Amino acid sequence: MGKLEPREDDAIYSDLADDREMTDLIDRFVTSLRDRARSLRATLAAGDLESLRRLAHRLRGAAAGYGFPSISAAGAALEDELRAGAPSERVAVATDTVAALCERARPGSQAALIGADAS
Amino acid sequence: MTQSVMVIDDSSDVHDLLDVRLEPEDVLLHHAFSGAEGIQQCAEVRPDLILLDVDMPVLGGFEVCQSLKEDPRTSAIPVIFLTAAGEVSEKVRGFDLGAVDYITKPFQPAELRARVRAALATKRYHDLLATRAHIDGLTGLWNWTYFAQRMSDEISAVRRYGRTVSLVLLDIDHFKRVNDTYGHPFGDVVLQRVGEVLSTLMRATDAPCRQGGEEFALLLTETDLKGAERAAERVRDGIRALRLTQKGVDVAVRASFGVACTSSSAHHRDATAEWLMEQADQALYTAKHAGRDRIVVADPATGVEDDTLGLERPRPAGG
Repeated sequence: MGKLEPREDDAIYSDLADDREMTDLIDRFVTSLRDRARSLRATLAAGDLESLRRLAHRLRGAAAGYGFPSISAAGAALEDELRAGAPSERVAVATDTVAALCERARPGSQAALIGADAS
Repeated sequence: MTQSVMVIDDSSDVHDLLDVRLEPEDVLLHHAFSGAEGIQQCAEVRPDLILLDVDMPVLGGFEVCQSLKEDPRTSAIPVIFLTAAGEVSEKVRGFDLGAVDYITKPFQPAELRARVRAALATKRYHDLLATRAHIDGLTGLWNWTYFAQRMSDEISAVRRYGRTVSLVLLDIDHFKRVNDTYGHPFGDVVLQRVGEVLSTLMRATDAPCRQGGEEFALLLTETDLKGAERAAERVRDGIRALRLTQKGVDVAVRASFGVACTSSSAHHRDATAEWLMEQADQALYTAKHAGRDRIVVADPATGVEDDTLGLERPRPAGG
């Protein structure tokens, strides 16, 4: 790492960050998570619940595959709320939870960050 | 040979993951992003393995699997379902629909690779056996079972697209005498050598076959009557050039040929496998009765099936 980013205590890293095959893919996925967070919020604002459900469903599967179980779980929770026809405030809270988690995702691993700090 | 795998999943994330996870395997990946696209691509590409997502919008994985199993072009291709962990009923339903295995998401890389490898190995053996079942043990040419199927496929193309297909029937002259004089093992050698001539002279798209006994058949795609006659001449010359000796005697091998072409039918839509076979068979019969060691081309204008020989038509067996 060239320049040290400010330490982010709430950053989320992929469980698969040490898997060399996955490095590039996780980087790309993390970038896509920021876009997905935006889409989630925009879709909720537009009141398009079916699209929101699809976004949540896809995120649930993808995040698990890329080593972000907490994001996957939050996606599943949102999907479940929408399936159950939950009241709009609960959907809003669940959407915000997923989007916030997506925004906290970072490339690289916890270990790499600690290593960089120590040097 | 590199085997190919079709991934059918609506999530591009899954495609990216599989790209990376299967990179170490020697496989060619194809990608389809919906059930409908998957069905269409599988029929075209004929992959060796299909990785099929259960949970897709519009056309779900189970419907796709059902459709793949109903299409003869894709029914033999193994399907592995990609399913969420814990969904036992999904796994069972997948097997009921003809899937060979399932892989749960999120993928464990080692498990994913192992399951893909196992399915591909089985497919390889399956293909090998299917090919073996279509090969004549003595000559290595196609057998009649395969040939009949192939001819029926090619004739459908003739009828549908107006293509031209020719058939050459070939019968070794006086084969019975060869067997009686020099013994059956030597007769087998003759058959094998004639088989070699056929397989070396044919194009990759042609189908040379041993029909049984000393009878052979050649299916020539995109070949008119003239072209088929030339092919028969090349085969005749190849057989004449064979040098075989037994008990210190040079044994000459000769054959008779009947040639027919679908373009001779009144209209390409009239061509049938039986009609083509009949035409070539009549021509071969004429060749045999005109003194053997010759090529007779079925000519619909004059008709080889005229009864100038005035004979009840037995099969030219044993020559």
